Amino acid sequence: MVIVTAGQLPYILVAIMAAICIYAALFKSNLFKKMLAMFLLTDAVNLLFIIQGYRIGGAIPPIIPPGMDPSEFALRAVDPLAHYFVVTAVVIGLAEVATLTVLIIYTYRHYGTIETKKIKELRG
Amino acid sequence: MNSWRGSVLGVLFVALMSSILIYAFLGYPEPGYVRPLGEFYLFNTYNFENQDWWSASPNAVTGLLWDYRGYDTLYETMVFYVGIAAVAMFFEGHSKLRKTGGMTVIVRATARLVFVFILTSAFAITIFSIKTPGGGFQGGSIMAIAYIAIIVSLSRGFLPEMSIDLEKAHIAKIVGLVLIAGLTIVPVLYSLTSGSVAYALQNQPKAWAPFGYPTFLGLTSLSGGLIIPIQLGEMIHVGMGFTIMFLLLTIKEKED
Repeated sequence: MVIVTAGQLPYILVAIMAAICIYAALFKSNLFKKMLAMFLLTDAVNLLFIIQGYRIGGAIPPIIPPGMDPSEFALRAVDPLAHYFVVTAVVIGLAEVATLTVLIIYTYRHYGTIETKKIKELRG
Repeated sequence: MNSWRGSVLGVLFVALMSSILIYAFLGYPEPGYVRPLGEFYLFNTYNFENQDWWSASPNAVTGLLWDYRGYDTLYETMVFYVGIAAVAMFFEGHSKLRKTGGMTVIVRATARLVFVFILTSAFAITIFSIKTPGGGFQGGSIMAIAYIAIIVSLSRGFLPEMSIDLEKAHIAKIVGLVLIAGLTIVPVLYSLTSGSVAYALQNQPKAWAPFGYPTFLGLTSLSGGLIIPIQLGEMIHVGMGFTIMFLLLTIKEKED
């Protein structure tokens, strides 16, 4: 039997969010919805990073306050690595969205629709 | 009937996938404890007593972005460049921005006023990113919002009157990237000319590699060494990239 602790509850939220996004990315026929699902899937992963980097009990942001000893800061601040990965992932995600948006616009201009089912029918 | 069956299958798929992911995620340790690598960065980022490993940035995330893991950020910036280049390539030939009426006089006057404030906050968020939350990407995104406010309220054709058009925006974007690349290779050039050890993207001097950007401006004002100028390059690159993207994506089909 799997026992879930209170601290692990955010993982369940991330798992459900990711599952819905995977479903939409695979089975929705609208290309824009597929793109949106992929973008939200990235956000689910980002949320997982942030949860992993959180420190329970008196956590402070990863900016050292003036006068604080570095060893005390290292014991109290949240994980900066998680924040770093999220910033990087957001930038790459936006580049991805920009490219996909243009591809969708061109698909619409070429086929007159962004529904994959209709595009398949058009191709015979 | 088909849509009903599709909905049930969809719910089953989501339930199954959720179960698999929950099972996988529960294998992770309970959140709340920072890993030793994260603690290393927190301990060293602004540790005067251990300057061989410090980044001279009180903001550990900024220190990570352009010091400890600078190469990751450099390549991420290039990915962003390629993304915007792909958008520009698809819309090749749309260099002229047509001027239309824009919104009402009140909105246009407010937009001009707000433009200055937004741009100032973009610079502030970028320059103070070593002490406060923010950075080049965040500053660049805000900078793009300033231009987008102008585009929406005064029309795209107003930008050339502000000395910004697609060509100049592309040039500014490349200037930002060149600034980042230039600052990256300065330590290497120093190493080649002086014969001492220095690393690409090196920010602060080490005991075995004496090259370093100045930590303080004047006597007490913290500069973060390499970090602020490189963040400014990132801000220009990202801000202009988003502006180009928005300009191109708002071109209507009829204008082709």
